[in-house]
Amino acid sequence: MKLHKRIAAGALAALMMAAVASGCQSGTTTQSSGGGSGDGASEEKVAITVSGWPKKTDTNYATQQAYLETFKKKYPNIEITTDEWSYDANSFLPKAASGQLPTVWFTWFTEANKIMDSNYAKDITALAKKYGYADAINPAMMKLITRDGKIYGLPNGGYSIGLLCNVNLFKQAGLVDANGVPKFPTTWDEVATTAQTIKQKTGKAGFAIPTESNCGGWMFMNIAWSYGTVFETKEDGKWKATFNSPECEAALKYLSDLKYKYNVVPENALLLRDDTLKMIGTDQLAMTVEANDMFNNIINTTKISKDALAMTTVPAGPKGKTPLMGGAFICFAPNATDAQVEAGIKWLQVASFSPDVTDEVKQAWETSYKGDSEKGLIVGPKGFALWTNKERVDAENAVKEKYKNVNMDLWKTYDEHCTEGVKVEEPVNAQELYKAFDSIIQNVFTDKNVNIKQVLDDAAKSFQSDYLDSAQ
Amino acid sequence: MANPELAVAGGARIKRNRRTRALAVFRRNLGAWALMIPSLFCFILLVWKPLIEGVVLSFFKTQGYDAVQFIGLDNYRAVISNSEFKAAFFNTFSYTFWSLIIGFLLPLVVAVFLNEIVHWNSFFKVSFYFPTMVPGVAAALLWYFMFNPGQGGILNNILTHMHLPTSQWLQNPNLTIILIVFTMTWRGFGGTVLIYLASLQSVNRELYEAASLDGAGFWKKLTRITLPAISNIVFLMLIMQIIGVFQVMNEPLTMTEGGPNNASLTLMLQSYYYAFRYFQAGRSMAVGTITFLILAVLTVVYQIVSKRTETDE
Repeated sequence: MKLHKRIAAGALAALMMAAVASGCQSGTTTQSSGGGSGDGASEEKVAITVSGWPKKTDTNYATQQAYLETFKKKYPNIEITTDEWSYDANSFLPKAASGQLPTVWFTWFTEANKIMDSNYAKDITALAKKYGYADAINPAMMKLITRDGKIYGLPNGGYSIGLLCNVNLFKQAGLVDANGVPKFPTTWDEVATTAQTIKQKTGKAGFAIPTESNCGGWMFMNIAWSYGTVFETKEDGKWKATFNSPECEAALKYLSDLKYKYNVVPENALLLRDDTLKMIGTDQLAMTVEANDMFNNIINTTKISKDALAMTTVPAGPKGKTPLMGGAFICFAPNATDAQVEAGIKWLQVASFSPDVTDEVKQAWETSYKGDSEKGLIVGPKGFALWTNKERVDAENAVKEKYKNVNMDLWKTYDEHCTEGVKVEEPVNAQELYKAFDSIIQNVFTDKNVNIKQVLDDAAKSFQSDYLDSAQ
Repeated sequence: MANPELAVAGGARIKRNRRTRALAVFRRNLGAWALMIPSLFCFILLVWKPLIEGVVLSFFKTQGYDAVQFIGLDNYRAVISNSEFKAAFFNTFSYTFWSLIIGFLLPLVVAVFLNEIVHWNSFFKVSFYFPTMVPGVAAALLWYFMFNPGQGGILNNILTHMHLPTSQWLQNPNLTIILIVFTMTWRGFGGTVLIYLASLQSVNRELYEAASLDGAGFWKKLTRITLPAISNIVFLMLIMQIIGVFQVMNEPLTMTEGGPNNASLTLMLQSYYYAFRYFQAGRSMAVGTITFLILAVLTVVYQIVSKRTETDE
C-alpha cells in the first residue's frame, strides 16, 4: 500500500514536473527565418509576423486579406502570420522586453523617443535607403524616427492637428452657409463665440479638449503655441522651463473662460481622447482639436454619417496658427533579421505603402478607396502630405478623387492650409510635459478661482527639477 | 581520562547516525518533496525571481527592461525628489485610511447580520456577493455613469429631482479618494463577508447557549464570544486590506487616471506610469521597492503591537 502510494506520488510529481517544464517553454516564434541578408530575388524561406491585422468584423478586413492573397502569389517563399495585436501602452513593454514583438508593428510619433531610447526598434537605415523610402518621405517626419543618422522606422501617415467639427450641431445652430458647410471659426476667440451659439441653440458642448493620458497637454500645445508660449529653451547649454509666462497664462485663462465665463465645455473635466471622439461622433460635441487621420475611426466606432464630419485648420491665436505635426510609424522587431525586414518591406509595398507608383500600388489604392467608399467611410480629403514625390502624391490623389464621396468644401480649408506653421513636439521630455499640463488643465477646469500664474510657476519649477536639470 | 581513539570513533558513529537519520527522514519525505518541487519551482520562477530581479533593477539605469549601468540609489533619489511622489505617497496613506473607515467594518457587520438572520439568508448572501461577480469594466462603467458630474449623471439627476445641489463627484479633489474607496468596497466586500461568515459559523454554538442561559444579550454575546472567537481572522483581514489597498492602481487608473491634478495618484499608479508610459523600468521598480518597504515596516509594527496586546491580556 505504502509502495503504491509512493509510486502514485512519484508518477504525479513527474507529471507535474513535465507540465511545469512544458509550461515554462517559451512559445515557438513565427519570426524564425532562413537568416542572412537575402536580396529580393532570394528564394530562401522567410517567416514574418505582421501586426495590426484587422478583425473579421472590421471594415478593412477584406481589403487586407486581398493584399495577402496577392502577396502570397508574388512571394511564395515568404510566409506571413497575421496578428491582431496593435501598439498599446500596457502590452507593448512586456512584448518588447521578452523579445516577442511582431516583425512589423505600428506606433505613434509620440512614442518614437522612448522606443529609440530602449532599443526596441531595429535600425533599418540600409533597407530604407535601398527601397527609396528614406528620400521619398517628408524629411521633417523622417527626422522624428532618425537618431545619429540611423533610421529606426518608416513614417506611414502624417497629420497636423486641426479643428474637427460636427456638422449636425453646426446645422442645428444655424452656423452653416447655403451649401450646408459650417462657418468655421478661424481664431480661438471665434471658437468661443461659435461654441456659445451652439450651446445656446442645441444645449450641447461647443468645444472640448481631452484632459487625461497626456492628451490634454498634447492638444494644449496647439493653443499655447498660438498664444506665443515657449515651453523649453536652451541657455548656455542648459534647458530651462519657460512656460510660466504671460502667454501661457493667457492660453490657460482662455480655457478657464470657456468653462466658467462661456460655459461651453463638457461638465466632465476628466476626458480621455476616446471620450471627446465619441462625443463628436454622437452629436454631443461640436468642436475639438484633433488629428486628421481619426475621422474614419470615429465613423467605425459611432456609426456617424460621413457627411456629418468636417475639418478646418487649427484656429489662430495672437501669434498665428501653430498646429502640432504627428503621425504613425512602421517599425520592425529589434531581433528581426535583415531578410525578415526586407520581407516586411515587400509586404508594405504590396499593401500600398510604397514610394513608387507601381501597378501593384495602384491596384491597392483602387481596392482600398473603393472599399472605403462603399462602406460609408470618408474618401476624398488629401490630408497632410507624407510623400515628397509629386508623381506619387498626384497619382494617389487621382484615385481619391475618383472615389470621393463627401462634399470637399467640408475639408478644403484644412487640405489647403494644414501644413502652415506646423511644429513638432517639444525637444525634452515631451510626454512628461504633456502629463504636467494634463494636471494643470484639470486644475483649471475643476477650480474656478485657481491662481493660474501660481500653478504655472509651481509646474515650471517641478518640471525643471524633475526633468530639465538632468537633461543637459 | 577518556580514550581519544574511542572519542573519535564515537564522534564518527554519531555523525554516521545523524546522516543515516537525515537520509531516513529524506526517504520518508521523498514523496512530499517530489510533490512540492514543481510548485516550489514555479514559486521561485514566478514570484521570488521577478521580485528579487525587480529590487536589483531598481539600482540600475535601464534601457527598456535591460539593466545597463549600476547607479546605486539614483533611481530612488529621482523618484523621491519628483514633485508627484509626495502627492502619490500621502494619497496612498489616504486610500488606506479611508478604506479602513469605509471598508473594514462593513463586511464584519454584514457577516454578523447574515449569521443572525434566519429567513432569506441565501437571498441576502447572493445579494451581498453579487457586486463581486460584476466584471471590473462593467463596474467601472456603472460608476462612471453614476458619478458623471454633468446634469446627465445618475446621482446628480437624483439630487436635482430632490432639489438638492449637484456635486462634481470624482472631479472634486476632496472627494475623489473617498469615492474610489467606496466603489472598491462596493465591489470587494462580498468576498470578505463570506470569509467572516465562515469564521462566524465555526464558533461553538454551545457557548451562545450557555451565555443565553446566563442571561447575556446580543451585545454581550457579540463582544464576549463572537468577536474574540474570530479576532484572528479579523486581524488577518486588516493586514490583508492594508496591503491590498496600499497597492491600489486599477481603480484610480480606470476612473480618474490619478487626477484631478494628481488628487488620486497612488504609488503603484506612479510605478505603472514609470514603466508603461515612460519605459523607465528602474524607476518603476524603485517606487515598487519603496512601497514594499513601507508595507514591511507596517506589518512588523502590527506584529509587535498585536504581540504586546496579547501579552497584556
